Amino acid sequence: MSEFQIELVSSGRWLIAQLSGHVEILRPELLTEVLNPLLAEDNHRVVLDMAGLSYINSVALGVLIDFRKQLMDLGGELRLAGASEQIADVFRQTRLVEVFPIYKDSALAVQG
Amino acid sequence: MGQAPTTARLVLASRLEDVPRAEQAVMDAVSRHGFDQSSCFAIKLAVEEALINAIKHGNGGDESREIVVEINVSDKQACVGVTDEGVGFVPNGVPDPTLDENLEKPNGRGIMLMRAYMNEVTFNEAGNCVTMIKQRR
Repeated sequence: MSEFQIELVSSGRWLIAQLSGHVEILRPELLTEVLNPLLAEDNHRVVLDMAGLSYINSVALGVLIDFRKQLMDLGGELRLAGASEQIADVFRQTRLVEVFPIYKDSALAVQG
Repeated sequence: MGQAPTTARLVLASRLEDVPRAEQAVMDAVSRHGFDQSSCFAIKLAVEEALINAIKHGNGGDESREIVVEINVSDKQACVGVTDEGVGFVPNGVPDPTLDENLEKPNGRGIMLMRAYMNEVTFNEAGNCVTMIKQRR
């Protein structure tokens, strides 16, 4: 059973995926397992709401990069929202903030 | 008067499932010595990256190989060493993941994160042992 859970909410042209659950990411397939079903949705413009996450590591960053690429190959887009200051700092340190737009919350992400 | 330093030496199998035990030992020590939440986040991230590197790259996923974690935490700093049984590598030969051409590659950020979040990160000459230091703020 996955340690992560995704709850989906449609918001206009966007699909908001609220990620929650256990965040000790040692097995990337657990995060992949909850993200991959989103690729089968009709809407590939996804906001990943990370407000429920308190931790991230390089393995999870790699999963998000792969997921974003798959969405883009389908003509979609990935935005991040709700990241804690510490998680947002990981994206700044790695310069991934230039790859993933990070919004304060999902409401702002769907407007941006 | 400060607490006496906390020292420990753990020997792990090369399995990701063993990582939380080592992480917990480090986090218990830094919490005991009053490291703040931000420093704890940094230390957890760096130690996890070092352990993942040791398991996947150092020991090549061979579960029969061991990883030694040495912990020395005082009220002034946390020092964590991670040694694997691999042949080592040249740290400066690892591509910089923050370069434009590497930005969208899914891996290669472990060492960069260790350096970004710890005050000192040094490798032994062979490249199979990393020592990381975080000063307490």
